Amino acid sequence: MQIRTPFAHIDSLSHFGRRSAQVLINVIFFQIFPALSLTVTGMTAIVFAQDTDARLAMACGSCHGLDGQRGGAIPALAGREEQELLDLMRTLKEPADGITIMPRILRAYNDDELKALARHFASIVP
Amino acid sequence: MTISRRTFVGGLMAAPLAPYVARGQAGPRIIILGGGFGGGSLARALKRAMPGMSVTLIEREATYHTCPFSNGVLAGMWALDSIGFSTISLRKHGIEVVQASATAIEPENHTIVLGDGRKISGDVLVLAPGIDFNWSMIEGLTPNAAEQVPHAWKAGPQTQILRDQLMAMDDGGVIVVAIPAPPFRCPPGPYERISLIAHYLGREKPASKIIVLDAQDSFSKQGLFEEAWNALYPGMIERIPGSASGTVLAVDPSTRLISTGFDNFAADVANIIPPQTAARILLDAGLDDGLGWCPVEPLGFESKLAKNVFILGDAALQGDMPKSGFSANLQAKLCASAILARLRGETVEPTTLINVCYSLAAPNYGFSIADVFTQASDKVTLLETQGRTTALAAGPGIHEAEARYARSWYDTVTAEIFG
Repeated sequence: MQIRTPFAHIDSLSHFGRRSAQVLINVIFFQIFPALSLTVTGMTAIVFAQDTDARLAMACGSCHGLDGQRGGAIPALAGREEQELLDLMRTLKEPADGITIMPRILRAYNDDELKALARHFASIVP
Repeated sequence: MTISRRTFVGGLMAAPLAPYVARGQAGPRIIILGGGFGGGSLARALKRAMPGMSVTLIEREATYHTCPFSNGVLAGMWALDSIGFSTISLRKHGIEVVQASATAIEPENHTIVLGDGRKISGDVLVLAPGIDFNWSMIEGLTPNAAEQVPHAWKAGPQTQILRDQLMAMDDGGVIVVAIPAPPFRCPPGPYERISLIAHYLGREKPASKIIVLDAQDSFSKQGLFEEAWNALYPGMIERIPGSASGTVLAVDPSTRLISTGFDNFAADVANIIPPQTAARILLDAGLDDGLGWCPVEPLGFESKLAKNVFILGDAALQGDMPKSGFSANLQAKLCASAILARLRGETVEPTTLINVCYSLAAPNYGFSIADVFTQASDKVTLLETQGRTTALAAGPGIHEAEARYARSWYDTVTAEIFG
């Protein structure tokens, strides 16, 4: 069985043999990390690597606030209706009077990505 | 395969990847160098995701002054204090803040050496120390000389020096702004600075001039800046590009005589922005490409030269991403996600990145460049190459809105890091 472990870069352990070190690290991982893994699973994470939608949404947070929660003059996204967000993003792909940066950003996203973003922000409890 | 007990114990003693076991820690320790847009964002992202994680942040300054919005300080639009944020107060979020200057990095054992000789080691290093100046590229320029001919390209006391010099200058004075060859921190920054100094001069000292000695021929958002300069500050700004011998070769700090090799300029205020490299400590550690910048892989921004060593922000070769606070902040969040994935024995998939850089040509006159990137196999790659900036002749409504959005971005991102 191939078990992937954290920090599996073991190049500097050559004199002990990489495989030995890998086994060692496996032992350490499974003894110590169950609690850590629970923490990860239980969080309402800003950073949640397994969640592709959340990673895609990280770029939006720089202006719209973490998880779209706050953005000053820039609208919040968190907790809005999924379809409303999707319609809005589809509309904002095209330049229009009074619109500043969103068309320049959204033109680079395909519809699946827009759906993922809408799904993500709709799922956040503001 | 069997493992002898000797090998196992020896491995435990030697394992550089699990020293937290020897320290009795319940998890890995992350060491971050630099508490700005890269390092500060990374520390907060890790603690938000995993409050119990051991995160140590090494930062020299008790107060971090942001380069974004520092040009407004020069123009008297707001005070230096308003762009200063306490790095010490990051402790309230459970981050172990070590206020000290770092003197060396030992990448192979994930160790930072401090000025007092202390060594701080962890399982992962994240390096975000920013830039240093290549003083020797301009004859006569030294760190001490920068007290007289400030760069103000690291915000803080240098910003105040330049502000004070502008305040003390008589009406009718000549200000020289020297811009280096790329790459440098914040590509549109020098031109925003010129704009906002012109705004200050127009109100307070309207007979004054700005001479721009520019090693570059073309520059970021050039059409938008020139449109604004013509509209707002006619006749005040004279720019000499690199192809017309704009590159500054020498400066006399005491007389403020500046030479391009082709011509000499006498300045009343000289803002000399020197050529730049990644922070010297990274070069000394052999983490650069030999040309002064640090190569990283595009998914989590891990050094291509050292394992479990991540490099964020201005110091790194971030593919097509510019050296901006926006970019460093986003890189940090993606880096945190990559580190957490590695802790779970997983990898991350490529995603889509954004950079937005707003510039102010006047307090209520903003415009932007907005880019989208993908994490290609070799580098972060720009997706759309045309139409990246605010349109020319956009009109006052758009420029006013973009100035508000610039402030909004700044407040949001600084709250994310320091709030």
